[in-house]
Amino acid sequence: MDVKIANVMKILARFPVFGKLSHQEQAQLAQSAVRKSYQKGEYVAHRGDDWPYVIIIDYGEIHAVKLSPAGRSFGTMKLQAGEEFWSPSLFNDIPLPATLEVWQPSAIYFLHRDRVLPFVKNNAAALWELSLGLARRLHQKSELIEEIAFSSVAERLARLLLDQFDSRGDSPVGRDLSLDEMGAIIGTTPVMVCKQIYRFAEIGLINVSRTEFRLTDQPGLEEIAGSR
Amino acid sequence: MDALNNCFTHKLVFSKLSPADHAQLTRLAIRKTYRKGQFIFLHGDVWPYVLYIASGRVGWVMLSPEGKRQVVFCPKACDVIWGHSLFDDEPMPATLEVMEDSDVFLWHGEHIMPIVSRHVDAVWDVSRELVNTMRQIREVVYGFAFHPVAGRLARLLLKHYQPEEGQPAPRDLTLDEMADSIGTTRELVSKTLHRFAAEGMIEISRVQFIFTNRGDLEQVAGHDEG
Repeated sequence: MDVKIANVMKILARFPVFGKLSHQEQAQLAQSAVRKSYQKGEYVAHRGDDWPYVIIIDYGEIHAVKLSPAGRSFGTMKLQAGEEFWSPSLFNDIPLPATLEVWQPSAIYFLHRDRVLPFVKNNAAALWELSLGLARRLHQKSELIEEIAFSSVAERLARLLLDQFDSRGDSPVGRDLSLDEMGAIIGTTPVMVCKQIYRFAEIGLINVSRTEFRLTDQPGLEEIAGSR
Repeated sequence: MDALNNCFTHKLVFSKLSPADHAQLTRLAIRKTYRKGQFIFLHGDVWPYVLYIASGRVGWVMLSPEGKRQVVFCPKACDVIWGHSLFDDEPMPATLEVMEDSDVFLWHGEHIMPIVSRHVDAVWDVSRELVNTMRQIREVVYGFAFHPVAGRLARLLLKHYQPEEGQPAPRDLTLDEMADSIGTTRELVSKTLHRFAAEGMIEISRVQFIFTNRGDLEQVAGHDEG
């Protein structure tokens, strides 16, 4: 067997839905998989497309971003290496509700509906795994409602900053998210993000330079985030 | 069990089962009646059930630790709710509150899953049901991210009353219920309704709304959903 196909089969087998398919079905799916590479800022698919794919992120980071009529963006989902996404168009012929935007250089495997569904729709065990995956996504969406409906902008921004500091220890954090991107993640405008960052700096929680943030009062920021 | 037979055999999932399966589900169903204000499950409960609403209306409600309330969506007669715990054994992410007196049928996962599993088309429909639920939740998230209170209230009025221009619609939502649905206070709902009235979009009386300019209301609602 071709080494490339064998590698894709290994990747597919890690996913609960595809793991329930037979070896032969996995091999056929692996043969049909198309791998594409993207640079930051490119689009994988656009809101409103009838988009009949399952995708698997090989590496990188993709965000599902919704644009308001006024042109403001809001990120509703982040996909990273080793995660899958089943387009809603596969289930109910509905268009893609958000644009899939590349936030970090990425490689993605595409599996077309015409290849995936004949195998999956005939396999009850695979379908129950699919429902389990969707139920988990529903939990994530519910958490997003809690976050956005019940928390202030200051709380949401504090949590976003703490997440970033958390992965870098005590070191300063490079400002690799733009104000637009931060606004898109926490559901507010870039202007509000900017105001709030400078408020945090004024009260001594963080130091802000043009290129990095430095955490100066972790307990204070945690208190605002509601984690203390 | 007549109430069960009326609509449920035409619903997603159930329409794919055989008459014998329907009969078995009818025998296994637990019928319950709830009064307005009761809870069917609470946020944090493990609830591995499927619920069919024969009559009435329930609310998928989220509560913050400070007691702030958000009604996410309101399933009504003929709708089916698949408990997330059925799939992942995890606690429910919301509370199911009875908004109007309701008559419901319940099946435990251990009873219903083997019956549904006999038909792959029905199992596929379970996924479609979950995707539909996800779409409703997503609309609420977008509403918060993009629309100020006026936009969210306009969307609620258009969705709930589905008004025809110039026709009266009885007011069956209280100010509190509207406020819970769009994440604001009753005072702000009242103020915004009167702003809509002053701008000629609706006429308000104690018992009804008349939608006098649906186009303007849709503009406020920012209708752009795909």
